[in-house]
Amino acid sequence: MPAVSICTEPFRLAADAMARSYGFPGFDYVVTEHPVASLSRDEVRERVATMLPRILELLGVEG
Amino acid sequence: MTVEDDRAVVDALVDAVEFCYDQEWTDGLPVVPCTPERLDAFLAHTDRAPDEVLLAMPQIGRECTVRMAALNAAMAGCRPEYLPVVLAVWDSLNAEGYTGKGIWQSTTGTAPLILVNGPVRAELGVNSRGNVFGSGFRANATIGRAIRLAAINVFGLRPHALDQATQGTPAKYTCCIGENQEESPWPAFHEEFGFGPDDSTVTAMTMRSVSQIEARHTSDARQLLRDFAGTVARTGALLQRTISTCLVLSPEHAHLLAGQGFDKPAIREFVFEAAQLSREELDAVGKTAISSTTSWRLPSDHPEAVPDERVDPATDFFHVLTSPDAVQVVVAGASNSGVSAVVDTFGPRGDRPPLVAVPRPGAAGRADPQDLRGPLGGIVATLERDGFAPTWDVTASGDLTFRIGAGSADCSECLVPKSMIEAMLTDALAGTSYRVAEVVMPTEG
Repeated sequence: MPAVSICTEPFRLAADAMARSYGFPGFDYVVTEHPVASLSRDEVRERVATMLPRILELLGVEG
Repeated sequence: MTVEDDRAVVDALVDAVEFCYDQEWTDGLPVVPCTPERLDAFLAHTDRAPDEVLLAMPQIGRECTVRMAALNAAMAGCRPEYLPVVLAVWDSLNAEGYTGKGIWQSTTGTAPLILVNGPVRAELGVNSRGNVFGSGFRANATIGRAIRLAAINVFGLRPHALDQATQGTPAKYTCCIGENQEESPWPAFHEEFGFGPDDSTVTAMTMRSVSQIEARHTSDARQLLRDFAGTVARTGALLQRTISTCLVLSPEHAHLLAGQGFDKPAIREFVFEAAQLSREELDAVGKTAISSTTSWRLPSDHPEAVPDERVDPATDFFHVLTSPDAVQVVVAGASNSGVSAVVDTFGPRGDRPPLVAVPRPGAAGRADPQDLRGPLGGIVATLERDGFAPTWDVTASGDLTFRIGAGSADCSECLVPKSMIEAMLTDALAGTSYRVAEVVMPTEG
């Protein structure tokens, strides 16, 4: 199943290191602002709406 | 040697240390350069195969072998004879389970508290008395460091990359203590869990922090225990439903408690009862409810909040510990003052802590397979009667490999299936410290 990884800004270094350790250097993923854990439900929805074009782009959906 | 020769040796040593820095093989402190010959000197202290995997992290596809553990122990500054203790730490971490699931990559930033019991403390010079959490002792400093260096060099868990700890803990450099059994009024930690006084053990406990309790104000055992319980039950330590703790008592506190009739079980029971928070205290910090999806604590008005059924509706109070068994009690430090510590452990929340036996020096690591002649006697006799030639091998961590040689048997198919042999061996080993790792059938040998 096609999937897209999402992480917050401070985890970019870890995400890149994880991608290298799996043999996929330069693996593309979506980055969003930090933090997420303390957001309300509505704020999470907003965040998803903002990320959606980038998520679809990585999935190869042509607009 | 001349002064010039000495200078050349020091220059070469500094170059080697700097080379290790350039390779990022350090925790920030200088490491001891290792040669193949020095690595062999370490490996001579165990009979375990150099390629044996001690701990795997499937999420990053890496594993630490005996050879890699020995190499990092050498680089950490261990003496070769420390290796059996270092290997026991890895076995204990593996048994505890958190490390293999990625806790060393977490923002939480934990480190293991490594507890050493038994005669190996004196043999290796593991400090259990003054400054027990502090500096100054090679064994304590380097055994803990051997684990951290392997985390960095074998698993690649470097800060700012795969180690995502937000702050970490000073214990990441090392946190290895001996129990001060000699000045304790109670049976040692490992004796509580079924080992003999002549056995040596290592117990690794993943923990967040060590909080000091300096308490010289009272000679009342109950007041003292309530003072400890106040730190055990601090809200900052309570992230999920309940917590666990390890009390590291100074000999002075231990004797004060023992003098008023408290043994380790009574301490556990008292601290369990005393470590409570009220609903009001939980409300004040937004931790009254539990998340329906993660079991983390939340404010009660959070959309995922479900009530915590452990808050007693009659009293509105809540036990932060699951049971008295979630309290471990260890005695360590100097007999000079009332200074103890509360260690915020991840677990066990009432389960048995992961004690691992350290092979006796001279036994070269491997446990004595002859020990199992008794438990395995029935199975061996049956196989031999049918013409098979069973042999076995055990590792220091207690893994049994059982080989059924064909011997004079002319019908290897006459044997019961492998799964049945495994079941019989498992039954035979019940009550021993050994477990079945592998059965090799005549057709496979």
